[in-house]
Amino acid sequence: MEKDYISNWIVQFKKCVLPLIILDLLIGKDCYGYLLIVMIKDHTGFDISEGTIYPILNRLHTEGLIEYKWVEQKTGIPRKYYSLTAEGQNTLDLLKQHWNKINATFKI
Amino acid sequence: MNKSNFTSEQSYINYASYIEKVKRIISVLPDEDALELMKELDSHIFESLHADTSIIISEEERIKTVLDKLGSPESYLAPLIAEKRLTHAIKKYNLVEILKAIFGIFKTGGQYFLLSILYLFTLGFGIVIIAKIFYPQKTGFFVEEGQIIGLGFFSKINAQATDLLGYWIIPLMIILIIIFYLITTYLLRKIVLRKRK
Repeated sequence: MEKDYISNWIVQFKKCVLPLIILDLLIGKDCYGYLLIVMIKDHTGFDISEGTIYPILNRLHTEGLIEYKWVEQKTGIPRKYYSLTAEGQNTLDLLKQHWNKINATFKI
Repeated sequence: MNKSNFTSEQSYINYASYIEKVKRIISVLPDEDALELMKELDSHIFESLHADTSIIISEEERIKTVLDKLGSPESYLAPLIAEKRLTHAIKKYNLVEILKAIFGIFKTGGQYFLLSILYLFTLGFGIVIIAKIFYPQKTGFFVEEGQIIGLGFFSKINAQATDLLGYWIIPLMIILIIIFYLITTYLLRKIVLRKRK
């Protein structure tokens, strides 16, 4: 029972925090979906089902926080590169403020 | 990607089978969105396949690992499809498309709503039992001149109306409470366990 609760909590926590992580990883650089997943795993140790990033990217794009462009590759398989919009940068700054406030005021 | 991207027939078959599943799921989207999504997933599979070739495994094992890591398309595509359908339908002001999109969302998120309705019914049956104890003349299964009036508590009921069940309504409600509660809880457990997987 306890294990179920904790594993469910971890799933919900990842769902909540992944958009913030993705926006942060896009600062100053363009990334494609697979690269973002690799960077998420490297930076956070999160083991996520890779497909779950695509609904998040879609939502961030719908909200105007990221934009994308297709770039042709020598392999013949193009990559979809995402980048932060100005609104995305502003939103990220606000999210970070909230995150830091919680971190500073709530000690576990 | 096509057959020429694979050295093994079985690898291509595994890849093609996954892609077919994705195509089936995203067929409800407008062509432009479906194509874009297909292109992005194809790109992902390609990048993942060629990511770390230092690990020596067969191409078949590699594609299997790639597709396992990507996950079941039914689970990760569902929220994405629901959103895209709704966005598209709203842009077009198409009522039929909006209703289809909302129904798609309802199918996933609305299961809990439906179950809450069933639990309310269960509670309602309990209330009928209490009403029968305190208001026996106004609670029951009433008919009048061959017409069914209803089952439950009625603040005003004609003198000509007949209560077909009398106090038998109490054991009937108890049976319905048990049945509804067991079925609803069973369905809820199935949904919760499926989500956890």
